[in-house]
Amino acid sequence: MEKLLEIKNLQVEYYKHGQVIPAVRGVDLNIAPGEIVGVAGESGCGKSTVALSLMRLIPEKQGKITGGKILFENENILDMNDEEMRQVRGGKIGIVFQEAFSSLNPVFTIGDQIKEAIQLHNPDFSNKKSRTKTLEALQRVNIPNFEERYHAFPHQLSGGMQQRAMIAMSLSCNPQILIADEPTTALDVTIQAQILDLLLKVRKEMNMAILLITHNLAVVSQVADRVAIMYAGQIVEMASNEQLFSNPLHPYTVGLLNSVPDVNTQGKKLAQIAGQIPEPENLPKGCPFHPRCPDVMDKCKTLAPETLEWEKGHFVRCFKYSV
Amino acid sequence: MWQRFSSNKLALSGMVVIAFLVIIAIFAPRVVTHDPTEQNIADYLQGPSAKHYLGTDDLGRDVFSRIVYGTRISLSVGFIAVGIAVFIGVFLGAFAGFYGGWIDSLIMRFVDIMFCFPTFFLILMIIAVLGPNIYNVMAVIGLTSWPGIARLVRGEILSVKEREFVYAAKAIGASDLRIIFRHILPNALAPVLVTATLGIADAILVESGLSFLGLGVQPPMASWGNILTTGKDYIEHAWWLTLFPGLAILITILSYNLVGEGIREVIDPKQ
Ligand SMILES: Nc1ncnc2c1ncn2[C@@H]1O[C@H](COP(=O)(O)OP(=O)(O)OP(=O)(O)O)[C@@H](O)[C@H]1O
Ligand code: SF4
Ligand SMILES: [Mg+2]
Repeated sequence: MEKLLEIKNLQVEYYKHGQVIPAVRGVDLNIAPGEIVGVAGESGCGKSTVALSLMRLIPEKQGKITGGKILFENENILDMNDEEMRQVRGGKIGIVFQEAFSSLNPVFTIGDQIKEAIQLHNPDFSNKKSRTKTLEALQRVNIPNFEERYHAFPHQLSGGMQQRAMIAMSLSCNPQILIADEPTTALDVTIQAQILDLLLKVRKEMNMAILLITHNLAVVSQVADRVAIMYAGQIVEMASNEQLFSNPLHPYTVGLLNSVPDVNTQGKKLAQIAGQIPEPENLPKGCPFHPRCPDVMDKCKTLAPETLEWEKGHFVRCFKYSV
Repeated sequence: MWQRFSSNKLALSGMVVIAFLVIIAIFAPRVVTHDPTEQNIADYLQGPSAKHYLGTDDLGRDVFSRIVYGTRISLSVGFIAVGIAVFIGVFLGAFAGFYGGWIDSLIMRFVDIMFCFPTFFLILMIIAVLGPNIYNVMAVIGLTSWPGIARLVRGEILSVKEREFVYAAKAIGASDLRIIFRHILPNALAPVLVTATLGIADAILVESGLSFLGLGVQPPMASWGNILTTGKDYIEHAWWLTLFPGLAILITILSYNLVGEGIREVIDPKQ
């Protein structure tokens, strides 16, 4: 498989009150051109941290990337200087955050903000050309009356329109990968569906890869080509969409799937995974999932399982599958 | 914004007065009735009359014309001194707030030291060394009044820099300088505007004080402060020499304060 982005053994720590918080503990993940990879897992498992690491946006004084490699077209993003990094940010990789409203600068119109992104990466563009490109970007994300909306301030737009504007901005310089960190979580259901459709449309038009981060497995099953399930800073299972949803291996994945609401289970109580989400600064010994695992064995309590490939392209990190 | 500002009648009248003063300052040569430096000993210490609207001083110079020219001095000292202070304060405050760490400590310790000095005496000392003239006055007021602005800007930057749109700006590839000056500072501009407006009032007052003490604008050039100096010597016989420049200072300072407070009210809904 051709690789556009390769994350190798990524490790990220945060520091709080003199405590070390290992938020990401050895993540390996590849993305091919044009592919949609979904990353799912409960709150706090490190999804956003992975997303921010790809752009080297971990807040400087709060945490840092302590190990691993992030290869973009075989170049390590973690070794790049400021200038190269600015080319990557917004140019080769775009990112969309959960809260579009707070990601847009309140004192500029959305048109000006998108135009800025375009001019940053195309310093030779005339003002007029940048403006035309901005209008195209707004049109591409289906913003109605986009010529008027160019002059709108973020607070004058609805949540869905703000997210579209944010997506327009991230796409304005034709990135090869779009990272979308819970792009629909803050929106209501119909708008969520529209935004997902939009992402599918633009990836097709632009042949762009998407790293879609969400805690909503239903969303992942609808749009992702490949899925990674994260738990406590690690990927515990990774497979193609088909493999993962027809044959989930990891007890955590199974638990998540049993707790996904769908049309058939409406009204019925969903099976929740028992137990607490562990805090990264206080991980249980052995397999981090063992206190909640229905299939726990003795060795799970002392030893941590390694990732293995169970069938082609289907990886799992669990002792049940080691022979 | 403007509607809320203009509904504050006091602030609005302050604004009108300032606009009026600016016009007077610009068109001073056409407004005056006499050359402000022309002496006419025969007419010395005359009270207000049709010929000399606000009377004459001890050398027979026309007080009205001198006050009109004094407007130029006061306003330009106010603008330029505050301009210097805003420039330095915004730069140092922005860098301190954005970069933190040792840069922040260094700049803020310097600010603390500046705050420890009684500013007026610091200004007196420097003027005593550099010699009194209007340019030194502007420079010295500007160079001593930035710490408040630096502290303010630093605080604003600290409160804005962790907001998500700053990360979003970084994520589209914006450089540090661009993030500071284009994305963060405009969000912090309003309180700077308030402080600057109030700062102009302070600068005008300091200039008047220096000129009054003979350390500012030197005669024969006219300034409100040095008209008052003459006024002090003749206060028993020539009340107009004290009253009119005093009123000019009072009205100007009051106007800037009203406008400053008016802007503060508009941008700060908490009060
Ligand atoms: N700036 C920070 N300082 C300290 N700890 C942090 C910081 N950001 C995240 N963390 C911690 O790192 C862990 C991973 O956080 P992250 O935001 O990556 O999780 P997430 O999977 O995106 O969760 P969510 O679904 O809630 O967005 C969490 O335990 C979180 O508390
Ligand atoms: S390693 Fe053991 S505890 Fe962990 S998920 Fe597998 S079976 Fe459960
Ligand atoms: Mg998150």
